[in-house]
Amino acid sequence: MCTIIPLEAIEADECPNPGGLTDLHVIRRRDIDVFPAVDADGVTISAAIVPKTGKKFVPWAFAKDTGEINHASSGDVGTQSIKQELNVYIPRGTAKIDAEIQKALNGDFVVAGRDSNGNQRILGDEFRGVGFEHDYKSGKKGTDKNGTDFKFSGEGFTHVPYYYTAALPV
Amino acid sequence: MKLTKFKLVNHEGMSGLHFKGRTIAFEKIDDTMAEELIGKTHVLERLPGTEPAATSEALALPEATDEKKNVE
Repeated sequence: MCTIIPLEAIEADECPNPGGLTDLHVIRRRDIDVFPAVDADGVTISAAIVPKTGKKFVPWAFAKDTGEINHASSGDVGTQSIKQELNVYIPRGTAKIDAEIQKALNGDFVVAGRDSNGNQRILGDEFRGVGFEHDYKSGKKGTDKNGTDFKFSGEGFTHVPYYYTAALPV
Repeated sequence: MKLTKFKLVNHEGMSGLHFKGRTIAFEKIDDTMAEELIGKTHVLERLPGTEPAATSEALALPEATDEKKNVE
């Protein structure tokens, strides 16, 4: 259920602009036992996500400066919701990577990435995960892209990717 | 580097915790880290009788000085 929260001021910040996504952890939504309730601000989760017995978040390494977390409003005013997206590029094509890709198709995921501002963000929630897409290109010459674009995305969220301040079980 | 005030629970199949951008293996978690992580994970449990006491400041660990003192 939606709670109307009063608007507050956004202050200017003069900090340097940091780089992109620095890590990515993935879990299937059905492997989560407890997805904590969001804090009063509507965007922060400060309690721990508890996976089912024997399950955990797994790290997926990716090429430097290829990771991003995006969210945007979708729909017309009056029917707006939020779409969430996380993209990374995983270089080279190997049997190990492709085996993970095959397992991920049609999967329903919750993914965690540390964003460019140093915040751990969680895409997906207890009731709605993010889907997976991939696009592999071998490249034709040495300087061509040789690897796979990974994309986790979902639409229809009522919240931005949560700010997760607890520890991830890995 | 050993947990004396906490114990690991329900950590089957896991190797550590990822917190503030760092992956910490379970064997590297000591009491100091555990004090910070307790409440932020389901795998740490405080052993009975090891709660930081607000009244026994002489016995408090160095990191305990950052903690809020609720008892005046």
